[in-house]
Amino acid sequence: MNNPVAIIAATMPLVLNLIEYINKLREVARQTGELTEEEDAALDVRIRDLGTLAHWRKGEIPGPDTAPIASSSTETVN
Amino acid sequence: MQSNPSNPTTHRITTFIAAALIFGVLCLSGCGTLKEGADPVVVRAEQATVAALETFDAFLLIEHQNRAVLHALDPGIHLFADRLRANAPRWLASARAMTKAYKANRTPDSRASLQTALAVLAAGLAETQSYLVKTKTATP
Repeated sequence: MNNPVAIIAATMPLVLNLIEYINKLREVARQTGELTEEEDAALDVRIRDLGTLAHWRKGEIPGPDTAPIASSSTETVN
Repeated sequence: MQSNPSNPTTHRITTFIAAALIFGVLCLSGCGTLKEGADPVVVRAEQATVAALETFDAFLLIEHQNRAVLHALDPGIHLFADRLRANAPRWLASARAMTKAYKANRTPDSRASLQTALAVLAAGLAETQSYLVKTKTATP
């Protein structure tokens, strides 16, 4: 992958994730008081619901054995 | 996205991940002064919990989206990520419970329990960062 366009395409989502993460941490650093009741409840809900997010669920390592098989199927139905 | 771990592009990506996450955590070191009447123990506990949550979330999202590349670099990254998936919600819930217990009853005992819960979170955070740095050093 030495094509500059391919490198940018591959890294762009990652860069956006990291920028979002840094912005969130900067927001945390600006906190000067205790959380309000609403913020407190929202944080609890967020922690409780982590398991519903795809990236918080255990995952398989993608590899040749887990490649989609639909594209290789040539069967026809009579 | 399949990639060779010795690929210079992979090296650049992982170096960037490590640098950005370390920078993000360093942003927290510039905490401002607290509002009048705010309990610094509570504010710092809430900040630490949210910062840990954001860091775990960012790490797991990156691992999820780049699993093949990171697994090729070091299979331990995926193993650690799955361990984090299993344990982090419990660590975070415990920190929240101890923060609330301290807010309800601000005694030295409840403060010590809160600090223990935060120490567990901090250990998880440090390990997360070490795995991110490992992705950088795993490449030539």
